[in-house]
Amino acid sequence: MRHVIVGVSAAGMAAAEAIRKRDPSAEIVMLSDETHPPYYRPLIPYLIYKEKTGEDILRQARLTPSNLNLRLGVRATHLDPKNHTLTLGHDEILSYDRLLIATGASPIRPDISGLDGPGVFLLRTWADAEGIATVAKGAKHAVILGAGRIGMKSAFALRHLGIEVTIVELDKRIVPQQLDDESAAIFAQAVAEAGIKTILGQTFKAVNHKGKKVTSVTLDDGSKLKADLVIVGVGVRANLELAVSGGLRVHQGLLVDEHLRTSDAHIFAAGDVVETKDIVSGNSIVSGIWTNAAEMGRIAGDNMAGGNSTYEGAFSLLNAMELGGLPVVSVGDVQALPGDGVEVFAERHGQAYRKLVFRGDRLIGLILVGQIERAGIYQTLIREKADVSALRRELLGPRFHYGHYILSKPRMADRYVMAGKKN
Amino acid sequence: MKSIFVQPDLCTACKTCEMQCAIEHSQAKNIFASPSEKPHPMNRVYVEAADGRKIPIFCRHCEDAPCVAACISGAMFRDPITDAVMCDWSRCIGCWTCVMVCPYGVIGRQLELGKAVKCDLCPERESPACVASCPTKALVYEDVERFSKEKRATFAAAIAGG
Repeated sequence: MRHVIVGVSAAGMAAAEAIRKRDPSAEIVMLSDETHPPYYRPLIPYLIYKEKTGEDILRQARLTPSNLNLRLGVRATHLDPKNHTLTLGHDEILSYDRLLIATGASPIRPDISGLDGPGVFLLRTWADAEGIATVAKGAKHAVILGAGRIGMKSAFALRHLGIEVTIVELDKRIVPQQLDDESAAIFAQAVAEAGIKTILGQTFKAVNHKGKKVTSVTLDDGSKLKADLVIVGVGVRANLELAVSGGLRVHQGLLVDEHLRTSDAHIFAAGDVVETKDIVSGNSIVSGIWTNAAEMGRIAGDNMAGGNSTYEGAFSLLNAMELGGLPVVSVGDVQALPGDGVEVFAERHGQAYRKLVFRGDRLIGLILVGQIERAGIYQTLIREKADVSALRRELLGPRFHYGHYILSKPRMADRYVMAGKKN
Repeated sequence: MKSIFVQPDLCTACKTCEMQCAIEHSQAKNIFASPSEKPHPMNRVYVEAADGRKIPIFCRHCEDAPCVAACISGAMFRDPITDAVMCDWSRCIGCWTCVMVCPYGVIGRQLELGKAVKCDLCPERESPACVASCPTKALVYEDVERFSKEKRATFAAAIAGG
């Protein structure tokens, strides 16, 4: 049995591991269009200010399944589901018994004049980070479009290098998807204290060059910001080219059933390329989140190797990070407004913030800033769509713990007594 | 293969396990010297109370461990010899994704170092410090096979029962 996996990041690797677990002798061919060996993509901002070397971000052998036929710098250009083959590059044909499309996503390049010129970067790959690091050496002023995770991480990385950094964000707050107004205000202070400027409610009208160098950015309101380095981080879109070439059903992402099987029975999909349902709202989403990708990979891989695992859906928001020394965890629907069955509980003490969003008897959203301990238990309740009406008082208190959770689930108590290595 | 089992009905919430865990994971490994160390030694086991019951809470070293799957830096891994889920501090970046996904809430934060802290089953000891120090034997380190299903069910009833 030959399994071919296109993509070697979170989803692809988790799938390979699941296949290997079920079938120690299966042939697993993994393809990456990048020339670097498998690495942890979320760590690439660390390459900008050299806190980490390339070696530090590589996936180690202990987290890589055995006997992979890893082919780097190879692009799968065409899919032929009828003959079970992929075309690699121009003319090599590779056949498969089971195929996983884990081609991920690419950064969106907005239609802004001058954006394709030199000194302007999107940040998605190791090579992108190296390009930024090179230009950053001689840079004094950096302007970043987008105050999402990539924008913020890039801003802090460049600030570490002593560069003047300005972030331009169209929304009215920073990290708009992951934070609400109150928590964004807490982080805005931390960002300002780090010496990073933020301009909200604006976007780029043009990026201006002189010769081969970027010189400035013109904003919507006509104002100009000096810049010798520009980074754009305004979101990603699914890499659907391969799926489309094989006539698979796609929409915003590659469409799959609850076993992560595509419209072709021998082809599965996992990760940022997939369109699945939001575990909280049931709406259709393309998620772009590492944790979702790893889980999809595990389930798709298990099914490719003969298993019967079901995917319950992805979180549209499932992020933890630390910015400016302040930790935050955001899960589920954190933007829902009170009313119409939705209740919102929020409290702030200095830089600590807790927000819980309930819909009826369910917990559907969580933001924890500062004190993030035991966040995983809240996350579990959201994932399980659990009736939390009996836990309401404990959930609102600061000491909600696993004891409360397990006592609300008598049937799970058997598992509780065993704190074993394998449960 | 051995595992930690909990008999909650025997727990008096004396928290000796928490203290001995912190000491075991210190440099001095000494009750007098360890508390003043920097970075501050931390426990990786927790004794909580709810509904009048005492509930020791431990890492399960889950088979499909969410913390290992979700780790964005390759820090969380399963030790091939002890089978324990471990955090490699040379890799941990303190992003706290593991804290966000652990269903038991047993991954802590070493704030001075910005690193995730969790149970490692005390690889240098025959029996983990928490188990060895438990005065009422509420914690047991036993072979999974030998710890019979009925025995587990009895303990389960001790928590679940009214």
